[in-house]
Amino acid sequence: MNGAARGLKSLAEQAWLPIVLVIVWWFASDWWWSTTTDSKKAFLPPLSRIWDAFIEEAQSGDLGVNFVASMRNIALGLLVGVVVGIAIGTVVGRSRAARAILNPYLQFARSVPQVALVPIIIGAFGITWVPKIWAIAIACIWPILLNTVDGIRAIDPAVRDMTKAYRLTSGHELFRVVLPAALPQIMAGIRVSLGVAVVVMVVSEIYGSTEGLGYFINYEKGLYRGPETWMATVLVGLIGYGLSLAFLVVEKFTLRWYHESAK
Amino acid sequence: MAILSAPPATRAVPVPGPDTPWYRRRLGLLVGRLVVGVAIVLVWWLAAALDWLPDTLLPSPLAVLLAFVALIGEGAFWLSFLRTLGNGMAALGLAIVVGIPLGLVLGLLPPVERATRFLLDLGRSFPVIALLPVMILLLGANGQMEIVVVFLGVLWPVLLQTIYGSRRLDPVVRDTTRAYRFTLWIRFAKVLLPAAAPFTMTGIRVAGSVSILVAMAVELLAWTPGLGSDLGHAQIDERPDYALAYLFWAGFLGIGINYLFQFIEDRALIWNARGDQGGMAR
Repeated sequence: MNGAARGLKSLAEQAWLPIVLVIVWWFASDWWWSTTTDSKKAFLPPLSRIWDAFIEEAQSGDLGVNFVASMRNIALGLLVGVVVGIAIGTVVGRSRAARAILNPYLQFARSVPQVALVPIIIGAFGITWVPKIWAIAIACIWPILLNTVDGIRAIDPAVRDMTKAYRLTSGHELFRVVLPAALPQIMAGIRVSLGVAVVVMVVSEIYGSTEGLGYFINYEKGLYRGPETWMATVLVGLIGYGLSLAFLVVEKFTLRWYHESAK
Repeated sequence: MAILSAPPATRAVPVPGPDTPWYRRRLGLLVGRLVVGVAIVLVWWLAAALDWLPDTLLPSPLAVLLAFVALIGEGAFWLSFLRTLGNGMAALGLAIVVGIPLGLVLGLLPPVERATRFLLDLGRSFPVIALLPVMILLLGANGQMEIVVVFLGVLWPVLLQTIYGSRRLDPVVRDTTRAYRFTLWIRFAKVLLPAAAPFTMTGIRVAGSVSILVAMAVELLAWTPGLGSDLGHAQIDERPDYALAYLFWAGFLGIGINYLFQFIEDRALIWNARGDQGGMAR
């Protein structure tokens, strides 16, 4: 069996159940909805109505505006988190004394439920979009910071001796040796932070906002509009999945030298 | 397998000698940590005193400390504390009851695992808090709804780690149990479960931290009683000192749960040579 056929078979093995489930959901929910007398039925709309809501809101442009606002917050918050997390992580990771001393503080900072910062930050700075970016950034820093520290700590001492023996400049050492060596671990931290960013985005937009997908979900819920609420909820879930999938591609690309060396 | 792998490195007790750097000595480390702690409080105090940040965000450290201590004497606080903890643990218990059997079955049946892979990946990356509004519509804003949402958030670490653990069952062990014709029950309880347990325990520990986080998020947004809604109320009442005190208590709760589960993990899984793969899915 050649590669293409094997790929197709693996795709079929993984795709059949989701496809069947969507089809069953489509018809079964339609049938259930037209026959039931359940008082909650307005909040359990059939898939066809959820789909109609999607088409309608997408065409009116409402969905697009809120989608862009949410993506902007995630992107900027994560960017700040990555830059600050790697910068502090590098400083801490390179010093044994700093690692030993700061460890309990970093462990505590990581253990604080980051979503609980949302009301404090929004309460102080208001419901515009900039405070949300701070909330996302502060939540994203910790996994990246701690993974950067771990990644740098795990670098083989022989590598350090080598850079000393070759008298590499410190900039050269940092960007050509230390950070690339720690990159697999750093990427793992960013992957965790991406999930955190999506959660904090949703929480901050439900808590207090005038735009974004979290705001859209909460607004439609306030109007008791079942199909629209479900549609945006499913959409946020698919976005979470899509982002983690996209990150997997980025990770494979940036770490291709690492995976190749492991073969 | 255990015979082939290197014996676990015996952890030498460090005896401080004249060459030991100061931060490796117990006293040096303690002093260093204290100095950093004092420095953090000083910067915080300065920031509050000079109004670098709005008062509603950063009250003075003393006010927060007083609020933190004052909470210890309040019955309402402990009620909220136990509610958040109880809801989180109830959801975790449900996730364990559902996740472990499901994970073992999926791990044993590769075709089923492949067919459900998309669903599992979707569930894992689904920001569960986005489900909160529809859950409020369906179940109302109450403790039961909170447990359901937290359950949907903590199921994935338990389930995925169990699948991973049961897939790693040594083929030799599997063939041996087949050759001896052990009953299905013995294979399940005595072979598969112990093999998957280290991975499952890691999943449970992760889920423990996540459960507090999701519970607080639900309380914050749906105003169901607990630490999260207390924090929200303190913020609205313009008592940032209490809001931060709740935040610190939540942090200690999170770190406490993590240590507790680590402790159970270390005690319950003595047979597990942790060094081999650290019990963590890749």
